[in-house]
This record gives sequence, structure tokens and C-alpha cells, in this order.
Amino acid sequence: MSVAETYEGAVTHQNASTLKSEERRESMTFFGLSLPAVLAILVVVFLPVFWLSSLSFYNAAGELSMENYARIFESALYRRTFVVTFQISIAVTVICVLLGYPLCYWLTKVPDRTAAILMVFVLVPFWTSVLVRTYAWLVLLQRNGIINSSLMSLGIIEEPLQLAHNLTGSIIGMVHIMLPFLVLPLYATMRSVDTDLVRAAVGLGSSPRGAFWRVFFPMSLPGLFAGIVLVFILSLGFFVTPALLGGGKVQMLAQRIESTITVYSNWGAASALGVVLLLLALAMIWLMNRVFGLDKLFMR
Amino acid sequence: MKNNGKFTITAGLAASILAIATPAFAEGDVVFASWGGSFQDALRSAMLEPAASALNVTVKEDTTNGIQDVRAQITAGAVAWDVTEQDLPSCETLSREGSLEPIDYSIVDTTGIPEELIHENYIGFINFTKVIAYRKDAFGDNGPSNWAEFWDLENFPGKRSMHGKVNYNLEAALMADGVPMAEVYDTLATDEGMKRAWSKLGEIAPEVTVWYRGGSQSAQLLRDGEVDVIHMGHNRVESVIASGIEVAYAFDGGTMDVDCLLVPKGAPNVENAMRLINELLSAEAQARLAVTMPLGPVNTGAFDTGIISEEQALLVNTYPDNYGKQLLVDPTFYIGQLGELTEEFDTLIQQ
Amino acid sequence: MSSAAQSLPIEISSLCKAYGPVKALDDVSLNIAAGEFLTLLGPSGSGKTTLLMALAGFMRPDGGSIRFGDREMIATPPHKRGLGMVFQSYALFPFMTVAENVAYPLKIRGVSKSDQKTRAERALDTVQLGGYGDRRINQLSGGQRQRVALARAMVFEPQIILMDEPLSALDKKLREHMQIELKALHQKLDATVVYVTHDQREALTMSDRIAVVNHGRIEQVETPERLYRQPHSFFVADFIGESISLPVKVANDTAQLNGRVLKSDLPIAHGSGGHRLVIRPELLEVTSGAVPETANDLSGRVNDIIYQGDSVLVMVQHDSAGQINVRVPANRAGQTGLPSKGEQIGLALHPEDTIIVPEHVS
Repeated sequence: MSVAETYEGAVTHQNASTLKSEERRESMTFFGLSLPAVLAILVVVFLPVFWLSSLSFYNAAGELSMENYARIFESALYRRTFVVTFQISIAVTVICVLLGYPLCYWLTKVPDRTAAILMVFVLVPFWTSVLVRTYAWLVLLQRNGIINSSLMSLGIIEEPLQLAHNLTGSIIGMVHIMLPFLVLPLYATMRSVDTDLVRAAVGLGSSPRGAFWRVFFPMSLPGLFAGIVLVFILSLGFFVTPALLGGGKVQMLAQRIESTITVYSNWGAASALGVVLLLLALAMIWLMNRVFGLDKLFMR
Repeated sequence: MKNNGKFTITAGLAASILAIATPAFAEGDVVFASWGGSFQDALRSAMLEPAASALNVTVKEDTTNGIQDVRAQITAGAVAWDVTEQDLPSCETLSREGSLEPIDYSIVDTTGIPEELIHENYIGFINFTKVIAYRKDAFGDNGPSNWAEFWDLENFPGKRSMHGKVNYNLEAALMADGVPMAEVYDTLATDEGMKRAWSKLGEIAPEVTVWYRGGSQSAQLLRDGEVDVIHMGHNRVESVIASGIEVAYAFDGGTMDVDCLLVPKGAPNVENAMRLINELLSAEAQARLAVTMPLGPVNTGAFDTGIISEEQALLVNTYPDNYGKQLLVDPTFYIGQLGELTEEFDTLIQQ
Repeated sequence: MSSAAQSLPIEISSLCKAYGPVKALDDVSLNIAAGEFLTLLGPSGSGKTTLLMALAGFMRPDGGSIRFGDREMIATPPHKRGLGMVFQSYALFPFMTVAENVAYPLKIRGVSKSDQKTRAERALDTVQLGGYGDRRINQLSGGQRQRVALARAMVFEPQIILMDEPLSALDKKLREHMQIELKALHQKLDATVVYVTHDQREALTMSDRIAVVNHGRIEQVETPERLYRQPHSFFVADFIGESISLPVKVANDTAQLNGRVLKSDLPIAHGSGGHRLVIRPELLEVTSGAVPETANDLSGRVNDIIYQGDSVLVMVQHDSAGQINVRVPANRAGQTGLPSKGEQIGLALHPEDTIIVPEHVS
């Protein structure tokens, strides 16, 4: 009996229709289970995004217009805001990588129990509100804060360092908040790297350093890239930390969106900024995928 | 505007009605919306509850986030508020948009209220002043107490903080540059004067450590000694002083803004609204609020009620001896150009 | 392969490693000849992998000596030991092609690009994977991956190749096929191979010699045949091949089973904990009549007969020794000679097959 015959129904198996309907019922059940999530995403993500985006094409008078976009591309302030937003996001991502990679690598080297405890230290801040953590940094970083007063009482500095209310403070605060987003995917990937691979490389003649760079590092790249994409994209839309630790001088895109809403009482202007931010984030993901070849790396 | 109106009304309805002040036998309702928080708590005990008893009406409360709430209700044709408090530029804007019921001056008694705060469609309610306050541990008793000194880093070195909004800062810059208080808005009305203000503001901008976002942050900055001199709300300065920090301030060069009361067009209980406004502006009600929080009564009669002691009166911005020292903000100046001015200001302060 | 590399002998002496109270390597000494295929055989946890890892340099022993030829290696880091290694998990680099994997050791050694290519191709030809160079690892079957791992381990002509259970992940048929292939490959290569397995059959098939490892010690090192025929301890006898054992009494180099002297041509090794008679079911002879005087008589009544394809297992109840199994080939001759259930049959254990071992080596 050939497959074709079966499909044409030339051969009827015993209980075939019962089994077929059973299969259909099962797949309907799975679809039914996913339906709430599909609907929720549709209602709370896609519709609002679509609606908000559409607002950007109306001016204050409610007429169809590209005015809101023209302002973004013509004004030096908006250009500057985009540049600053990218600079900060890149800086935060780079620092997160420099701190997070060695941390994760070390975590894979310590005994499992120790690693689990250390991971809790990484994750506990993750469960604390961003606002609380940002204020905590203010307590640490400000002029009479713990860091400055300790350094001064130790005689290391005479004048307090300006650590908060500027770019430095914003980046410190953001790195702290973003680090878990890098560490989690990276550590998971590093853990899954077969230790035999590194051994094989060393056994075949690579120095430990060589084996790290030629084998372990490339194997950890999918996790690293996932972390980089997460941190970078989240940084692009960050609000609370630069607003509180930037002293008003560090203005990222999300802050510009907020200020636009208040000042213009017109959602179109803010919506246009949101649309540009969304498109930039998508473009960055696309670009990173092209550059890093994530799909290729994930293939095993 | 039509679209976002619908969205905000849903948000507004979700916020719902906060609290109700009601006498034993109420004859009708009136809905009042203000800024919420401890401020509205003070309003409730000093003004709303006594008014409810006096008028024999139920005063329902709601909170507002600003002009967009009023616009949303009017656009949607579902006006829920009878009286709301808004800042002066918002009142003027709404008035120009034709969104307000005219104030019925046959019901509202204007005795004791400065003429400049009586308008066809709205009326002054409470005065807020931002003053130059400094920490005594940084400057002793002779800290910067006018705008020229605030700008003078040589003779008054120290960390500075200003509000991160364009409002008041252009005015401050001109005063620092020697423009007399009375001529500030005339000067700003000219291109040349505007240029002068920006260039003077550009001098201080790099020296400002923090452009604060809101009132609570300004208080924290002053209390923690994060900055040495700051331009901030005088009622909050008083609360910092009350917490035991040595701070000095003067009303000279302070920037005074006024919140006013208005009745949105199509309000359900216009007559009750007018009666409530009359109660809120009475000398006694205004005096009761002034002793609850050091905010300025618009009704100068408040100081003659005996409710405010001589000592307390000196701390109130609208006390006749203090009133003239401050610059009353011109609500019309920012209308129509706030967006533009804000963007120029943000460009100036951005790092 | 070229004859540039000369295989090296390995000399292990007094190697020790303890993990807390557990001795993973307990004073291990072992000499492996140049070019030899030596298998470390033992159950899991016996220490065989620890020993291999010590040879590779991945495990730092507490003491002892490892010499490759005349060079002391005990403190040499793994990448300077010049070993070829094959792992149980294959350990192929998933982000490289087959050819890149095979060329890896050459690349590290600074071999020119063109040489890398030709030598990798030649190595792949040797493992019958010519033309697979551009494939990705995930496109290969288990057996093919194993061949790539082999090619990678030998491409740089190492003098010593270590293999850690390389065939255990393959199915039985492929495993048996690869055993033969590996053995043939070893004959082509001029390399000393140390091979770890827990599969005694695999060890018997492939090795020149087998070292049986138990509790961190080497129990016996022998050629497969001698190990099978003349185990030195009960552990070795029991671990290798099929057997049943009966306790015996040994005095003056003679063993007695239930009071009857056992005739044996094999020397009786000494140890502790008494001795046992080890009976291999296929070495017993079913006699048609009485058991000849020259052999040990283990006659009894047939309890059950189990057909197992290539052979038939006859379960015999011995009067005093209990149950004894006899394996009879399932060919025609065996079939015709099969006893039936309940029948009393004669069982002869010839002196050359009579294995008597101590319970424990001393």
C-alpha cells in the first residue's frame, strides 16, 4: 500500500475516522489553550501600537500631516537626543559585557552550589523596583553619599566627586539594572557548553587561552548576543534612571517623549517619536542578526 | 485631538471619585477636582468640608493631571467636574478655547482678591512662589538672595539647582541681568529681550548641578546638601526648615504663580459650582488653608480674620509685605510658544 | 600516513589520586609498549577514566610519574603533551565544518592552509568520510561524527592517542562495526592507543592488552585471551565473559569442591577471602555417557532449556553445587545432542578450563 493510496482514501483503515477526529480534537485543544495569549497580545500590544502609531500622522489640529516627523528630523534637539540615546545605550551595553562576561565565566567555574548562591546576588536586584534601585544609587553616589564620604574620610579625595546628576551616574545606574539581562542568557548558554569541547581543544594542542578564544568564546556567542540585544534594546527606551540620576542634563528618547506629551498636549508629536524608536529598535535587531548571524549560531 | 480625548476620558473615569464631604441633609452635588495627595488633604479639611456644611451640598472629589483632562471631558461631551483647579496658563488657554463657563460674579464675592487675578472665565485661588533658598552651612547668613547673586559664582561659589523647565528661568535670567521686575515681560516680548534672556541663562546653565524634575526632588536636594542654593517652592523650603536643616530664603525675586478655579463648559451643577467657588475664596477658608500649609491665600482679607498669627503671616507669600517683592508670572507669555521654548531650553541644558 | 611520527611507550608508576577518603587512583603502575592498543576496562567509578584524564593532563594526580618515552609528563600541561584525543561525546566543534574540525589541531600547530586542507582530506579519507569536509556537524549521523572525531585525533599524527569510551553512544550494530574498523585503523597508524571502555566484549575485540581497573587499582594486565582463560581474581573472572562461580577450599595448591579434589592445569593465584571455582558455560562439555576420569564431573538434572538464537542455554541442577549453566551452540549438531527437561546428563569440566581464583587480590 502506497502513501498516495492512503491519502486518496482508497484504503480505509479500521477506526481511521475515530483516530482522525481524535487528532483534530487534540490540536483544537492546543489552539484553544494558546487563544487567550494570542488575543491578549493582539489587544494589549498590537492594537495600541497600531493606534498610537496612527496618531503620529495627525497634527495638533487633527489634520493628516507629516509635521510630527518633520520636527524630529529638522530639530537639532531631537537629533542630539537620538545621538545621546545611542551613545548611552552603546556605553551601557559595552560595560555590561565587560562586567558580565567574566562574571558568567567565573560562575561556570565555581561549584554549582556557590554558583547558585552567586546567581541569587545577581537576581535579587532584578526583583527590586527600578525606582528603588535608582534611589539607592542616588544615596550611594550623591555629593554627601556613601562613596564620596568614604573616599573623603580615607583621604583619597579632598573634594567630592560628581558621580550623580550627570552621564556617569546615569550609566552606572543603568548598567546595574541591565546587567541581569546580559547575565541570564549568557550564563545559561555558557552552562550548556559541553566542557569536553574545551578539553578537546586543549587535548588537541590549544593553550587554555587559545581554547577559550577558539572554542568556548564562539560557543558562548549566542548567549552573549542575546544579552547584548536585550540590554541594547531595553536601554534605548530607558526612562527612570537617566531621569533621576541624570540631573536633567541627560535626556534620552523616552524622556523626550514624556516631555513632548506634557508640552504639546498632543499625542501625535510623542507618538512620532515612539514610532521612530520602535523602528530603530527593530532595525537594530535586524542589523545585529545580520552582523552576528544569530540564526546560524543557534543551529546545532 | 479627537482621538486622544477618548483615551483620556477612560483613564479619567478609571481614576474615579476619591472622597465625599457630605452634610446631614444635602441638597445637591458639586464635583471638585484638584491635584490630589497631601495638598488635596489640606484642601479638604481647611475648605471643602466647611464649604459642604455651609452650602448644604455634597462635595465629591476627583483628581486632575492637568489641562488635558478638562479638554478630554469637553471633547467627549461628558463633563464630570463642576469646579477644578488648574495653573494660570492652562486657565487662560482653556478660556481662549471657549471651554469655560463665565464666572457668575453675582454669586462670587471678589472682596480682597487682587484685580489682576479676577478674570471673566476664571479666578485666582492659591499663590505658589519659588524662592531662592540656600543652606547656611555653605554660605552662613549671607548667601545668594537675589538673582544677580544666584548667577554670581565668584562671590557665592556652590552647587546650584533650578527647575528643569523653561518656566520662570527666562524671567530669572533677565532679573539676574538687571532687568527690573516690572519690566521682565515687556522685555521678553521683544526678540532682543528674548535673546538677552537666553544668553544670560546660557551663562548659568553649565554651572547648574541638577535641573530637578519636581517638588519632592527639590526638597531632597536641599535637605541632603546635594546642592547649596536652589530655586524652589517656598512651602517645601519651609518643610525642609521644619525638619531641622539650617536654610535661609527671601521673597525677593521669587517667582509667583497662581492656580485658579474654573468651571468647564457644560458642567452639571453650574450654580453649585459658583457657590463652592465663593466659599473657597472666602477670607476664612483661605486663612485656614494658609495655616495648614504655608501657601498663599489670594484673598488679602485672610490676614484680617485672626486665624493667621502675625508670625505665621510673615511666612506667607501673599502677605502684603511680601507680595510686592515677587514676580507674578504672566500666564499669557507661554501660551502658544511653550513647546518651542521648552525645546530651546532642553537643548541648552542637555549634556 | 607518513612515518614521521614514531609511537611512544608510556610508563606509569605509583600514580595516586584521592578525592577525600576515596582513592580514585591507588598506587597505579602500568607500562604500555610503543604502538600497543591498550584498553582500560572496568565498571563505572573504577578509576579508568581518572587514569585516562591523568594521562591527558586534565586531572592533576597527588603523586607518581607518567613518562611518554623518556620524557616525564606528570607536570606538563595538557596542550603540551601532544596527544590525540577522542571523547565519548565526540566533542566536535558545532560551529565549524567537518573539515575545519579535522584541521583544528593542524591550525594550532601553524600548519599552512594548503597543507591543512590536504592532510584533513587525507584523514577524512582514512575514516571513509572523503567528500564530507564541507558538511556541518549537525548534518552527520552518530557514526559519522565518531569518524570525524577519530580523523581529528589522528590528523596531526600524534604518537599517542587517548580514547574515552568513543563508541558507547552508538547502537550495537554500528558499535561492533566500528570496533573492527578502529582496530584496522590502529594497525595503519603508528601510534600508541589507550582506550577506555566498560564493555568487556569491546575490550576483548580490539585490544592488544587489557588492564582491568577496579577500586582505583589495576587488577590484571593481560592479552584478551589470557585474561579470559586465566583471570587472576574473582573480579576479573566475573567482569569478563559469562560465568557462574562456586566457593571452593584450597590447600597445598589443590582445590576441593564439596570435598572432591578439582583437577586443574591452571595455576591458582593467591589472595584473600577464600577461593572460587569459575565456570564458563561454553567451556562445559555435555557428555553422552559417563564423564571421563580426566575431567571434573559436574553432572546433574536438566531444569530448563532456553533458546537464545546463536546458542542454547541448558540449566542443570547439580546435586550439591546448585545450578550450573551450560551453553551449547545452536547449530545442527548441538540441536541433535540436546537433552530434554528432567533428563540426567553428564557435564565435564576439563582441567585446562578449570579456573580457580581468589576472592580478592592481595
